[in-house]
Amino acid sequence: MAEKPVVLQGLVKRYGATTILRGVDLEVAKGEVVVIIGPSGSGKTTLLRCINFLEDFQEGRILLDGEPVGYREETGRRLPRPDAEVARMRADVGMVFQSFNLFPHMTALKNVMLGLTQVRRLEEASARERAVTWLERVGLGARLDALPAQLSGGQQQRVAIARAVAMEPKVMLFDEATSALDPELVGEVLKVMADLAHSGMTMLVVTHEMRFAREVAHRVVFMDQGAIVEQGAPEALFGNPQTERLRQFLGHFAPKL
Amino acid sequence: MELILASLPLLGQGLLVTLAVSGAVLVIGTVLGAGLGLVLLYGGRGPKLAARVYVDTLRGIPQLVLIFAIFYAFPLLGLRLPAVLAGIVALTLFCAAHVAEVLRGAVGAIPRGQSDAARGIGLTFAQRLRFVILPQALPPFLPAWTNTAVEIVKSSSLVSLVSVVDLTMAAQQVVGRTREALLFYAVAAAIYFAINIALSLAGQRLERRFSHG
Repeated sequence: MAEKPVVLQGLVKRYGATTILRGVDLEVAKGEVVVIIGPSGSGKTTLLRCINFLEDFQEGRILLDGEPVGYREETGRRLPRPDAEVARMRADVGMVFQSFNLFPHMTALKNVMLGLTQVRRLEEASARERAVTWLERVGLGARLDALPAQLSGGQQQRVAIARAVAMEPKVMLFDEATSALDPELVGEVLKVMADLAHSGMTMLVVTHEMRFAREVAHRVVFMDQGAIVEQGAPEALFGNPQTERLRQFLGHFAPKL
Repeated sequence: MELILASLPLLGQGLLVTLAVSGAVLVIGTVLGAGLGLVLLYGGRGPKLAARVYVDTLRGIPQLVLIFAIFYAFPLLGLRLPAVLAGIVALTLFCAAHVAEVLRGAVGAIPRGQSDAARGIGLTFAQRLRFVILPQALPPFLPAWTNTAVEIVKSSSLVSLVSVVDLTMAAQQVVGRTREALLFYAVAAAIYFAINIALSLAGQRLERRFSHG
């Protein structure tokens, strides 16, 4: 179990009558970088949001280091976990959002420190030290006291990455982390993500950046209509797609590849 | 001038009553309203519906009717409240409904991603409120709350209609004695105006203190 930080088994998510995820199975190994691609509405974002229980799900289970997310399982029954337990498990899952979602009333440093002091219960001084280390690693050592509004989109997203990764999570989730950025700012964020991948972080990345997928991913997963259609090593998946749906999807990116 | 000096004690007492009624209503009403607002925002289906019905009902009833209802109708149910208390209770119920709605609006305007990010780093519900949601709700909350406070100070004059000697009633009594209606109603108006200007200025200062880039 220990080498599989994230395991999804038969994950089903419905919104009323609409089924968003129709029985997804996925295992992510420690240190593995899995990139999820697929057309919009294919359930990629919902999949990520289920892993830290930002979204509830109706069937199946998600195991985080072997521990079921969102529900306790007792004698075959599914019991919702209380808020404090859900929160404790979320602390071990880092998430980076398309819209950054920095706390606008806090400086970059305070954004990173909040989880360290309140959730990890670090002393102020060691929280600060760890926050500064991570902000320096994402290239923002000079902007510690800047408010989010004073930072560019790329800088904000790098602070958001520092905020998530400083918690030392078991897995990092990236939900279209570069989609809201101006084209010239995409590179700086992808570079931080690639560095993180090379440092051995377990990562699940939803993105439309096919070059990133090709160069950084250990495995690429193609989703369509709430299910995994095809997956494999990037060379295989991009070089020799087995399904018509994937061929069509990749066709949209052909000029760029 | 002598007239004014002679009437000062009565007006002063009336002012104290007005301040006491307004203050009590605002403090209790804000605390209750904040709780009610949280139920509107985060309550389960049942409590949320109950809070919604309460807020919409209370906001739809004239304050004077509320005061009369509590002052005249409650004794029929065996609950006799002194006039001042009836006034305070009625206005507090009204104030709480308004504050609840103001809080709901202020929190509702915060992008959903803020709550996602706060959850994402593992904050519990109480921590999310304390560190992420409420600090961001405060700047939009304050001006709307100040408006409510000004309304409450003005509405407090309605307690004079159940014969509480507040500033309005005091002015009325002084006018009855001196026949100087214009003068003393102007004095009363000026005092109400001064209280509310002070409230507004205090509100603005707080807003500036808590607003962020």
